[in-house]
Amino acid sequence: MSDTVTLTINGRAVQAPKGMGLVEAAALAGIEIPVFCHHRKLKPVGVCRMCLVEVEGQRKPVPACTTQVADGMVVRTESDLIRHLRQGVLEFLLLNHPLDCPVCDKGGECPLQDNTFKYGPATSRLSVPKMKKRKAVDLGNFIVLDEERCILCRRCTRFDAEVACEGTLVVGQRAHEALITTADGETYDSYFSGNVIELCPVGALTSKAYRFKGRPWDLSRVPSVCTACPVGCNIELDFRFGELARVLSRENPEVDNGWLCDRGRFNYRYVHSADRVTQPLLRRGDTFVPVSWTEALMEIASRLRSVVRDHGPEAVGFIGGGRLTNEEAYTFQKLAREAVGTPHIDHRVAGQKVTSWAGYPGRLDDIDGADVVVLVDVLPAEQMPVADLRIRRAAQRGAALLALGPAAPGYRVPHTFIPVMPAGLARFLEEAASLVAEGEGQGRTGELSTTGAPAGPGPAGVDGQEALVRALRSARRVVAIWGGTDAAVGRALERLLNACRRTGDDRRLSVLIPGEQANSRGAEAMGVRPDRLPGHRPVEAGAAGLDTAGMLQAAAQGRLHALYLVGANLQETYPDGRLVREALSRVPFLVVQDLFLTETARQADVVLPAAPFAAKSGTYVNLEGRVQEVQEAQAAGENSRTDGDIFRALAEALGRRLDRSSHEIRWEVQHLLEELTVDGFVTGAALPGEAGAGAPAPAAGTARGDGNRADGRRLELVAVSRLYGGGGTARFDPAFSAVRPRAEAIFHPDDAAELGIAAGDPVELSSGPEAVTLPARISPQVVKGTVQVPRGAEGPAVNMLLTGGWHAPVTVRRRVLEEVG
Amino acid sequence: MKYEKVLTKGIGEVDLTRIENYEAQGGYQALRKALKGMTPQEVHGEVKRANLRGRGGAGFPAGVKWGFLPDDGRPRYLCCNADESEPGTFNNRMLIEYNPHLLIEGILLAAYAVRASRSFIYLRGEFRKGFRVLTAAIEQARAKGYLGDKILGSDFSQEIVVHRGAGAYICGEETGLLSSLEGGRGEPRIKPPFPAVAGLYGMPTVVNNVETLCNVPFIIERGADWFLSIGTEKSPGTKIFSVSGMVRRPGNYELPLGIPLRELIEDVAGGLLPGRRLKAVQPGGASSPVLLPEHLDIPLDFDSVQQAGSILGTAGVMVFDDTVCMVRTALYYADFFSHESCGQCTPCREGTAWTARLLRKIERGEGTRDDIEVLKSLRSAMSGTTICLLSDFSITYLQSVLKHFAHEFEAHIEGRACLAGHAREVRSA
Repeated sequence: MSDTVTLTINGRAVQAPKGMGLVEAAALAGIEIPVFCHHRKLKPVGVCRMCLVEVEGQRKPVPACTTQVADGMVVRTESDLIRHLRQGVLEFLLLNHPLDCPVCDKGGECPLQDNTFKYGPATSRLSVPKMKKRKAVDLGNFIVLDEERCILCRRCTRFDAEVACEGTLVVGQRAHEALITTADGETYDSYFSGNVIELCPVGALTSKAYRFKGRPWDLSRVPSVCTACPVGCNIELDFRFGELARVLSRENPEVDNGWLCDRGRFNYRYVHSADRVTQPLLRRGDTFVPVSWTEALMEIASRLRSVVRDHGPEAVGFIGGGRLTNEEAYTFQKLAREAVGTPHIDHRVAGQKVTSWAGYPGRLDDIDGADVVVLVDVLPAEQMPVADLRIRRAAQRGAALLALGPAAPGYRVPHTFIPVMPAGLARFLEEAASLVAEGEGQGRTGELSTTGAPAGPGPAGVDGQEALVRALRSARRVVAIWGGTDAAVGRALERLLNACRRTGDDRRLSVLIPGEQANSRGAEAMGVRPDRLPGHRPVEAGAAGLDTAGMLQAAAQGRLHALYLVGANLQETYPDGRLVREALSRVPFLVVQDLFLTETARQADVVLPAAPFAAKSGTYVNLEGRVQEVQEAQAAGENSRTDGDIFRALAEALGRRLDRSSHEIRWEVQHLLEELTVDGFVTGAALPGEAGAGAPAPAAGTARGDGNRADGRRLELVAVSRLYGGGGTARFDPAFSAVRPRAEAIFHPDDAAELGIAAGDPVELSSGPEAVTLPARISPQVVKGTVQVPRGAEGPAVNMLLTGGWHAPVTVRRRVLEEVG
Repeated sequence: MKYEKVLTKGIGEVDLTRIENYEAQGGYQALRKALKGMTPQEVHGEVKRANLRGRGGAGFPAGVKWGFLPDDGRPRYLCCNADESEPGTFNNRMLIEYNPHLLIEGILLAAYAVRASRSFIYLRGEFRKGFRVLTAAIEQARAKGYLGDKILGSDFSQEIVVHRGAGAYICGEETGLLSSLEGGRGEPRIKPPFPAVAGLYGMPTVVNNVETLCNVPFIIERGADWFLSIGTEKSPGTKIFSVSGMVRRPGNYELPLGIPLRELIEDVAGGLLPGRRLKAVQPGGASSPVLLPEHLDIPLDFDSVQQAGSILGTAGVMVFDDTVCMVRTALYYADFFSHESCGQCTPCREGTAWTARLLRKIERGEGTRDDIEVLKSLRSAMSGTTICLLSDFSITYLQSVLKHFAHEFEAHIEGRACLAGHAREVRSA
C-alpha cells in the first residue's frame, strides 16, 4: 500500500518514492551517481553510460538513470567494477575531446571537468591524433556549436523535442561521426534555443553573445527577475567587472521551471548600449542640448506649473508604467494625482484593455493540470513564451488545446485552430456559452451528439464551435488565456466560463491574461489607470480621468497641454499611429523618460535618461499575480537615474515631497499588496464594463474614411505580436537587432493568387489617406481573408493603418514597378 | 543428395516466385491446414514443441518468445527481421529472392499463432530485388486469397507491410529495427521493457528472423516430431549455412544442424584451394570468435559451437587460409563496427572508433606493445556496458585473434613483413 520503497544503496537502507530513478534515490541518501546525459527534467535515455551501477540479481551493470527503485533492491555504486567502468567512460569521452578548457566558456563550471576530477583517469592512453570536427557551427540565431567538444549526451535534442516540442535539433550521422544538427533545411531558431547552453554538460553549445567573453570565476552573480514579458522568469545576472555578461535561468518551478526564452536570455546588451541616453536633454529649436538634472527638472516643473496655472491640472496627462516596479508605479501615480493633481494617467501603451481579472484567477501551474486550454485572441509563444512551454507540454500529454482568433499559433503539438475574426469573437464565445448551458439542460451527461463533423481549420462556424463546446463539456480543468484587448470578448469569455461552472461543481476554471508589458498587472494594481486608484479601488463616479486613447485624442484636439511619457514609445506601440502623430505634434509640452532616443523621444521637449531594470530594487507582479522582488544589481550608470528617483525628484521640484522617509513608499506598496493578496497571489481587477468605469473602447475594426479603392481588395489587417518585435531593448541591442522581425505583409495563398501577388512583391495596404507599402510573403498559416503583419517590426509603421485595435479592414493593392520607382 | 532440402527445396530448379510453382510443391498447405483445423494455440504449441530456435543469431526458441506476449487486449504486431546485414551471411537474402511465398506463409502462420493484428517485414534497404520479389509475391498471395480479409474463408485476416531499411546494420537488432520501423533513428532501446511487452508503437511485438519464420510452415505441415528428427537434440531442424572465404565452392547450403565443421568445409564447400592450409574459421558472422583447425570436428549446432568458444550466430561461415593476415581481418571488422555503431552509447561510439584506429596503426607497422595492451583492456570497458550488444560483439573476434594469433600482431609491431605475406599498404577505409 505504501508509496515508498526501501532499497539498499552501498549497504545503507534508503527510502524512496515508488517510480523514482536510482540517481535521484541515491541523491536522497547523499550518494552521488555521476551523470552526463541524465537531467531530471528530461526523460532518461541511458546513453552516456556514466551512471552504471551494480544491482544485485542483474547480470550486467545497469544505468542508474533509467532504472527505477524497487523494494528490496540492492545497489552498489562504488565497487571496483563501477569505478573501472566510470574511468572507461571518461577515458572514452576525453579521447577526442579537444581539452581546450583554457579558452572554453564552460571551463570552471563544466560537469566533464568535474566528473573527470572526481572519477576519471588522470592520463589518456590515446596514441593517435585526436579526431577533428568542426569548431564553430552556426546553428541559428544565438547558438554556436563546437562539434569537437560535444559528448553527444543529447540533452539539447531531448529538450527541443520534449520541452520545446519542436524537434528542430536532431542527432545526425551515426557512430563516431554522430553530431548535433538541425533537421533538413531548418536553422535552430527556436524561441527557447538558449536553454540548451545551460543544459549542455560541456562547452559544445555556446552563446554567440557570451562566447569567449569571460570565465565563470570572473563573474559576480546577482539574482533577478526578467522584465521582458509578464511571466517574470527568475534569472541570474552575471556581471563581469561591472558589465552584464550573460543571463542565466534561476529555477523557480512555479514560474519558469528553469527555462528562459531567448528574448529574456539574450536581449541584455542594450543595458550597455552606446545609444543609451546618458544625460537629460533639453530641446533648443531643432536640437537637443545636454543639461544637468537640476536644470531639466526645473524646466519641467516650471512648464508644468504654468500649464496647471493656465489650463488647470487636467491639462496634464501621464502615460506609461508597465515596465516600472510596483514602487515606481505607485510613485508615478502619486506624482500625477498628488503633485500635479491630474486624473489622467494610464499604463496601457499598446491597446490592451485589461491586464488582470478578478474572476477565475489563474496560475501558471494550472496549465500543467489542465485538460482543456483555450487561447482567445492571444499568441502565447509571442506574449508569454516560457508559459507556452507548459501549454505545449499539456497538449503533448493529451490536453485539448484550442486556439481562437484571427492568427494561428504555429504549434507543432496537437491542437485545433478555430479562425475567428476579432469582430466576431465575442459573439462566437457567447454562442458557445449558450451551447454549453443548453447541453447541460438537455442531458445529465452533457454530451454532444457524436455525429458532428470534427473540428477543422476551416472557416469558423459550427465545426470549431462544436469542438470548443465538446471539449469544455467534458473538461474538469480549463485554462483560458486571453489577450485582453477587447472588453466585450472578456465579458463573453466570462459567460462561457460561467456556463462551464454550472455544468459541474468540481471544475477548476482559470484565466490568464498576458499584460502588454512586464509589470502591466503591477501598474494596474498600483492605480496607474484613470479609472482605478491603488488597490484596484474604483475612482469616484464621474471622476475617472482619460485613458491613453482619451489623452491622445485630447492632445490632438489641443485640450491637453502637457504629456509625460514613461517607457512608452507610443509611435511604435500604440495601435493608432496617426492619432499618436497628431497628439505628439500638437501637445505643447512633451516629456519623455526612456533609455533611448526613440522616435517618440525625439519629439520631446525634455528627455530624461532612465536607468535599466538591473539598476532597480523593488517588486513586480507577474501575469498570475505573483509578487517577486528584485535587488539593485548594478549602479544606474552615467547620469541616468531610476524611474522612481526621477519621479521623487520631480515632485520635489514641484514643491511636493512624495515620501517622508526613504522606506515609506516601500512600506505603503507592501501594505497595499498584502491587502490585495489572496492565497499568496495579488488579485485582479473587475472587468471594465461591470464596474461602469473606464472610457468606452474605441470602435476597433471600423474603417477610417471610405478607403475603398476601385483597384484594390478589402482584407482584414491583423497585426500580430512577435516575441522579437518592438521595444528599444531589441533595437539598440547589437546581439538582438538582427533577429527583429522585418515589416512584411503575409497573405494566405488563395488571397495572394486572387490579388496576383507573388512572394516579395511590394503591396500597398491602405486605410483612408494612410498607406504603407510592404513586401509580400505567402503562408498557408495565415487565415484566408486576412493580411498579417508583425507588430513592432523594422520598417514602415503599420499602426498608421489602425484605429485603436490591432486589426482593421484595409485595401490591398499590388504595386506595379513604375509606381515603386 | 545426402541431406533433404527443406527450406531451399526447389530453389534453382523451379521459379518459386510464381505462386503456382510454390503451390505445386505443397506451398500454402500448412496455412490451409492451420486455418481449417488448428487454433492459434495449437499452432503456437506445435512450434514450441518443435523447439525452433531463432535463426537470426541468438538461437532463442521462437515458441517461447511468442509466449511472452501479454494477453491484455492491446493490438499485437509481428515483425519479420529481414535486415540481413551480417558480413558473410546471405541466407535470408536467398530465401527472400527465391522463395518469397515460403516467408509469406511463415509470417501468416506466426501471425495466426500470436494473433497479430498486422505483420511487417523490415527489409534491408539494399535488397532491391528482394523488395520487388516480395511485393509481387504479396500481391499474388492476395489474389489467391492467402492474404487480406478472411483468409481462405476463415475468420483470420492479415496484412503484411514491407518496410525498406535505409542502410544500417544496427537495424538488425530487434529494438533498433522497431525504432527505425516507427520512423525514428535506428537506435536500440533499453530493455526491459522487451518488445514482447512494449515493442512497435509500444504494443506487444514479436520479432523473428526470415529463416526462423520459413521453418514454421514445415513444422505445421509435417509436425514437430518430424522437425525434431532433424539436427541434434537441442538444435533441431536444418540451417542454411552461408559459406564464404577461401573455399572452392562458397555458397548457401541447407544442412541439418550439428553437421561437423569439417564436412561443411571439406565436402560440401569443396575444400580449400590447392596448396593452402586452413588457418581459422569464423562460424557465425563478424562477431564470432575464431575456430582453429583443431576444432574441425565440432558439430555445428548452437551449443557445441559455444562450447568451443565461439557462436553459431547467423551461420555465416568464413574460412581463412594461410594467405590471410589476421590483423587485417581484425581491422576490417573494426572498421565495419566503427561505421555501424549507432553512436548512442559512449563505450561503443568511442570504443569502436578507437579500436579501428589502433588496428590501422598496428597494421601499418606503426603500432606499439602499449597499443596491444589498450586493445586487450577495451574488452572490459566495452562489454556489458551498453544498451545493445553491438559493443560487446565488436571486439569478441578481435580478442580471439589477439589470443590465438598474437605472433601476427607482434610481427606487425616489430615492423617485420606481415606473416601472411601481404604488402604493407592497406586501403584506407
